[in-house]
Amino acid sequence: MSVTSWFKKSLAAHDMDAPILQVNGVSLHYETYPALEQISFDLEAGERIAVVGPNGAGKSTLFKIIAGVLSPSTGSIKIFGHRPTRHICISYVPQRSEVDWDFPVNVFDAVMMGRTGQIGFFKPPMKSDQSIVMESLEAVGMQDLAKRQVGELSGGQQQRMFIARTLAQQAELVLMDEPLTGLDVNSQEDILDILNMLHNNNVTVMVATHNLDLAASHFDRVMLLNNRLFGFGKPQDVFSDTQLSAAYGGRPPSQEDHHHG
Amino acid sequence: MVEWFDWLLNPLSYTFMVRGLTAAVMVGVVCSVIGTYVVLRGMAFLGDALAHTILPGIAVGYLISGNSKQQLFWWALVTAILSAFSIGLITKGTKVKEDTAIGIVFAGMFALGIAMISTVRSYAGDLAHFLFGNVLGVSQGDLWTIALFGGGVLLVVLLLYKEFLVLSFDPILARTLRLPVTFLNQLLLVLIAVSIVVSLQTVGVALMVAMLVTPAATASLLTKRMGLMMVLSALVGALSGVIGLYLSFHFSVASGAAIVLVCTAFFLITFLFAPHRGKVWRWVSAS
Repeated sequence: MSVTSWFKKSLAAHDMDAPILQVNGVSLHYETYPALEQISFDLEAGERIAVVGPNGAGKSTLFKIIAGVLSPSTGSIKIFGHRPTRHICISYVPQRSEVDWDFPVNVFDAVMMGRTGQIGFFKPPMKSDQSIVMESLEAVGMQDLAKRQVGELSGGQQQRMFIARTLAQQAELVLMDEPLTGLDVNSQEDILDILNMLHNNNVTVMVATHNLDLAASHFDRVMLLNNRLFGFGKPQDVFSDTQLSAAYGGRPPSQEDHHHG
Repeated sequence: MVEWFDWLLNPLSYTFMVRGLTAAVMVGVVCSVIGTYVVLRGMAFLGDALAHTILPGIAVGYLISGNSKQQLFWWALVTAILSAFSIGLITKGTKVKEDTAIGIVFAGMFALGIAMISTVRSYAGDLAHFLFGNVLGVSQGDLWTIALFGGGVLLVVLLLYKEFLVLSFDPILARTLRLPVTFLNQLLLVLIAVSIVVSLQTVGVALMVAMLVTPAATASLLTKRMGLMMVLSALVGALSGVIGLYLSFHFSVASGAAIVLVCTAFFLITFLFAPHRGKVWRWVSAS
């Protein structure tokens, strides 16, 4: 048995009766990450979720737990009925500030990385992988930039490149960490259009953002998070003054889409 | 013209020079290719530490089996791999900051090595060989060892190229693609350790980090594709080996130092004159 077929066997089949994501009583107490307390919720396939909350609310931490990169102290995560570490259908798109943009790869190489799981060990990408990468780039309008070094892209293009990588990975659950932060209005619109395209393809998307207006206008449900869940539902139900000021500790949330350090 | 040919061909009439050149080219290629990861992942200090922690291993071998190079190679290899694993452990959960911990362990091990070797009366000459290399003392057997282990390192890099690429660019992506991240990180440390051991005779412990870092850093100024960076880095490493040995032969300079100095010269020239990224290029295009 080859290493690749062993690797593929270790992955879980999707239990299609189960919801795409079930989070049950997840807590995390670890000194280097913001704490999470008793988070529970379910997502349906194809939903668009905005996660809002102040800096240090644990948005990135929650995403990393869902992606199977961090383990929760207590509680469990199930993706289509199985632990996240047995799936390669989850994509985590990092904050742009966390990426080494001087790294010697071009856009094509970076998007091809999303195929690594499917290609398997010891093998170069096949023709079919290359066409999937080009199709993914076309889907986000980046086909002409395939040869560009990643550091030479604008912020919006960098974000679209990561979405293309997610498409190449054929991910079904996409977790995006502040994709709109630091982008101009046009680039934000581009990203939101692409999110709609993902939605139409039944891809489930969770987006962390500081922008309450965009969260309310472009997403099916919004999650108000500050170490614990302060609300999860339709924007008009969750974004009440009392709930917002409770989650933001009495201070009004900044409507600016600002960087956080 | 004739003098130039003599300058180039004369050294080749000595077997020790031919062997030395072969070793320097192989070592240059292996170190420079693995060094690409060292540079991109910011592991220069770690590579330096790894090279220095080998010394007590060599010392034990030296005390037990004398100056038999074949034996010393195995002692060095075992110590290097052990060090690679313990450094992997240190960089996981310790309370002391990672680079501090590495510094403590590496200086301690290095001192232990020197202390052990110094218990032998006529140690100075041998110690110098371990510290600074002795590429002109390379035997036919040594060449086979370098080829075998160096070739092994290159083969693993080739087979796991795309996995190491993902791991270096985006470790979280590597995790969400369920690659064996811990194993790959540990394997990379072992590959660096093996590269260091096969290079011991050429540049020695003290200058090792230059072979790991300088050619790759030079290549990083010339290209923005990982694969090409490895090729250019290997080219710089191999050329430095050859030019360095010729300079060493003609000007009676210590061979390891000569090789490293040529590497450094390559870097400086590239740093100043590289198209687009060089200082002079920027200065000219800015004015």
